[in-house]
Amino acid sequence: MTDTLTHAKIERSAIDRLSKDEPAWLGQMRRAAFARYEELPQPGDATPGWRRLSLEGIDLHAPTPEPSRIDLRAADADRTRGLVVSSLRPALAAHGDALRETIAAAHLGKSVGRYAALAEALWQGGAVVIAPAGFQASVPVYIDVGAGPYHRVIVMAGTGAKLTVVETHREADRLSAGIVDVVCGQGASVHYVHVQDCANSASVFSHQRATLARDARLVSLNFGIGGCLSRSDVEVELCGQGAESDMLGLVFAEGQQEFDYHTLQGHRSPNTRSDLLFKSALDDRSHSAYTGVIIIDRGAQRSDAYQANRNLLLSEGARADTEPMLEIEADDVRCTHGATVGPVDEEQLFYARSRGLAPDDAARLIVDGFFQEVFEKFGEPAVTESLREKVAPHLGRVSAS
Amino acid sequence: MATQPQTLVDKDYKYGFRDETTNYAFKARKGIDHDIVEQISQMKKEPRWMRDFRHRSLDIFFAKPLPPWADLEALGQINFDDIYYYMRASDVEGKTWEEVPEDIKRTFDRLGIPEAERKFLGGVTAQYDSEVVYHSIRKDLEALGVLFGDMDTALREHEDIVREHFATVIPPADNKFSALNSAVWSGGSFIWVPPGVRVDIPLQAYFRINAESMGQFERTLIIAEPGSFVHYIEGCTAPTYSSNSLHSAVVELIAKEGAHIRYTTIQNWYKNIYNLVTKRAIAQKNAHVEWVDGNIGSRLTMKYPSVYMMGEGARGDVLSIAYASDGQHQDAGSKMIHAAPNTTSLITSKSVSKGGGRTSYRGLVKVYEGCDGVKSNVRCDALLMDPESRSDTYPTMEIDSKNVRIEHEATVSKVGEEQLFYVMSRGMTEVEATTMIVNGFFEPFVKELPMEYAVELNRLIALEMEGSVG
Amino acid sequence: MPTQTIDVASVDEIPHGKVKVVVADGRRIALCNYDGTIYAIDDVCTHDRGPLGQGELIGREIECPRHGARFDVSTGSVTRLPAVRPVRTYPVSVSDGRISVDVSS
Repeated sequence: MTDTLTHAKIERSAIDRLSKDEPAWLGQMRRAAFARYEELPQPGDATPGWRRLSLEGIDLHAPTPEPSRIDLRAADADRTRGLVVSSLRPALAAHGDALRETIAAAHLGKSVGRYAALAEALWQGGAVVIAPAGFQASVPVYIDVGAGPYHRVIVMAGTGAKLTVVETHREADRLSAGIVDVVCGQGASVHYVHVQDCANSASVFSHQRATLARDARLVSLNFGIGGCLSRSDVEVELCGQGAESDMLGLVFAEGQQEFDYHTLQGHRSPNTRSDLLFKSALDDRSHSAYTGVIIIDRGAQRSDAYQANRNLLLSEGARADTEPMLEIEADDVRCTHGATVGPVDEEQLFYARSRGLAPDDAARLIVDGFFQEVFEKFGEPAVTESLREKVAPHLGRVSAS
Repeated sequence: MATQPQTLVDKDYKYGFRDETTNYAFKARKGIDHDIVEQISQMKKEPRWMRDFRHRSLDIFFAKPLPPWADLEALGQINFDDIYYYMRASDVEGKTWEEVPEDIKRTFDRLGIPEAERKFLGGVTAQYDSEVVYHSIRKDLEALGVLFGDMDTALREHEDIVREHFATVIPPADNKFSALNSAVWSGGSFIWVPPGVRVDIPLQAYFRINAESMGQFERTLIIAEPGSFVHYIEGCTAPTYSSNSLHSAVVELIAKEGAHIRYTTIQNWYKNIYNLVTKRAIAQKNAHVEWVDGNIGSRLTMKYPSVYMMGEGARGDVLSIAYASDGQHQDAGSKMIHAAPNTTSLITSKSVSKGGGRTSYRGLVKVYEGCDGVKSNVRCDALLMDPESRSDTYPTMEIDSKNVRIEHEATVSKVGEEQLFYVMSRGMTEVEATTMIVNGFFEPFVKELPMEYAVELNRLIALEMEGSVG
Repeated sequence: MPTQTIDVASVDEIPHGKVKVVVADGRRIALCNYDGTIYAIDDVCTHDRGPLGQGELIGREIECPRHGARFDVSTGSVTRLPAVRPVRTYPVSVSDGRISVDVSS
């Protein structure tokens, strides 16, 4: 039991070491975040929002900070035209003002928890991508996050800019906590993918927050297949009129994996639109918990918000919890949410088998089709193709019984 | 709030040791403690086990906190020390017809409520003479072997049946308000239907109202033996005044194998009242429980009628409407617990918020492991009438079995402009058009009510849309 | 099936009608003394997964303090809502005033 293991307590001096060569304001923010972390309890069975998760055998103690390597890939041509793709700490000097505002606002997120506060305090590996006004990226930017425990990514798209960012986590094998800020300027269009494909021993915490200015558009995809425990808070704030957000999620869980997603669609301005589709396929004795909140502020009239959570249970012992929530204070809105839980549809199976497919192949085809909708809504075939390849070996283990 | 027994006003009484034949000069006073509970039980001449049950429940009430997930802004305003927890009819201070609020009188007029009923609903008299109606129905029921009466009498005359089932569906520790009710309950209905018997006429609470039941902490227990059917109706559409601001009822339904219980409620408590109710049913194999629940009144109603499907093939349905206007919060919903295979649940919830009112839906659909073949469908629709109003939904699904079909859908919208325009182009005023649309919105619920209720409800909605009800 | 018996407490630690929670093999187990016999059940209420051992023994049943669910400690069977599933029991042996629990599954 975790109670009996001893862990080195993280001291505030760790922050002093980290912030030695950083601007003073960043050190202050790190300390404030650490104070918040210290006030929050370690999650357990009785903690609200954690009740149904199986935390047995999962080490939730904060690891000591260590450097985290982050690999960045972007087209040279794009860099030449002004796209900034850099490790975060070196960029603090050149882009301090812009970054400062974003970093300062991160902790205002609705559901900032213990591990987000920890990452905010102790991140070492980090990346920043800044697309200047009007910039049209030619190829996606790839951010591959290394094995260190705490990291931070910031993506900023200037007025009318257009870019795609793919952030991948594969290296973590213990507890890892990261924060992501995506800031979309007026009329900007951003596609963002968060890939969690970590080792089976990893517990991964991710806090992602996006703010959209007037007429901005964000299409995001959270793709989860790794780790033993994966907890993600994904929030989108539609701050400016006409902003639009498509939030997509895809989880393939097996063994005893636990996936816990908390999403927020925050409509703060009139004429905003959000559409969320989160799909999970659960095999063996895995478990998915989804909590989704749509908030429409009093003044956010003529807003439309949609939310759908679909769970496919592939075996006895797989479990799905879903909690879609609405808090609506404006009346001139259209708002719908829906959730389903069930096994592979009998009729679909029958149809596929009548085409000559063996039962296991039929089941795999159907699960593949189940995910297809999410990939299609995201677009960017080059990106989604590589995600399909990641799912393929897991699909290969699906059986019809 | 008292945490230990207080000394009594009348020093003849000692907590726990009483000669049961002594006549009590009960003095009504505010606040709740073990002495009040002791007196209530002694006056009712209850058996020892019920008295102990009440005392234990009071301790549980003191120990439990308010539910943290609730509307604490409203709940936090309840001053538990400033409430009468038990009053006999003779204790009620005389209230004259002149003191009844104008808006209530106007509604009585518009709804055509008979004179005698007006006095009762307005809180002017504590007695409602329903004896005439009740007598003829009683004869029919006796012939069938059906037991129908108030809970206090049932405890005296049918102690064995009561003891076997009482608090087996809702234990006192379930929540703070069920604990309170368990300590101070008085009145409420008791129904027992023998195996195979169908009671064709709906049994109504009005049939058995008597002086003791002030309606404040009612305790209802309905037991349907295998293969039986009964429909029970409580409440009324007319606004009901009460001098007691805290109402906390407990309703337990037990539908044994193949039995069918339908429980209809229309609640229109006056706007000063906190209405916190725990309603739950057990449905055994192939049994069917339906909750038809209408929430129109009160300052805050918290009510989540639930069905625990314990036997294969059991079925639970909830059809509920909620209407909230300025200063009101209808916090309603349902819990469907599937603990056996091939069970079905259907929840339909429709709510309307107007003029700053707030409606919330809180629900749980839980499927335990080993429950294949479960089907559950939840549909929540909310209509916002204006920018001041608010609607929330908080449904939860916890699914631990694989071969099930679980669906949930909720929408929030306002009355469509095109819809309104179309209806008004038929020559109606805006108020008439809105009324028609809201009535149409509530139609699935209204058509399940007995005729006279349906008519009254439609009229009441018209009044609400007009804004002439306070 | 091989047993895995662990010594957990002495008999004097659990008076008649009382409950004591112990940890054996990483599990929390509630030892209940009903009428002189010791019974062992999981310290987990099947209703809300919270601890059961904080509850009171009423005859042979333990009542969960949070919502009133009850279980028969001798068989583990559920006897009152809102719990609907039984709680796991463990074979108990007592010798020389020491209580041992068999945690093999």
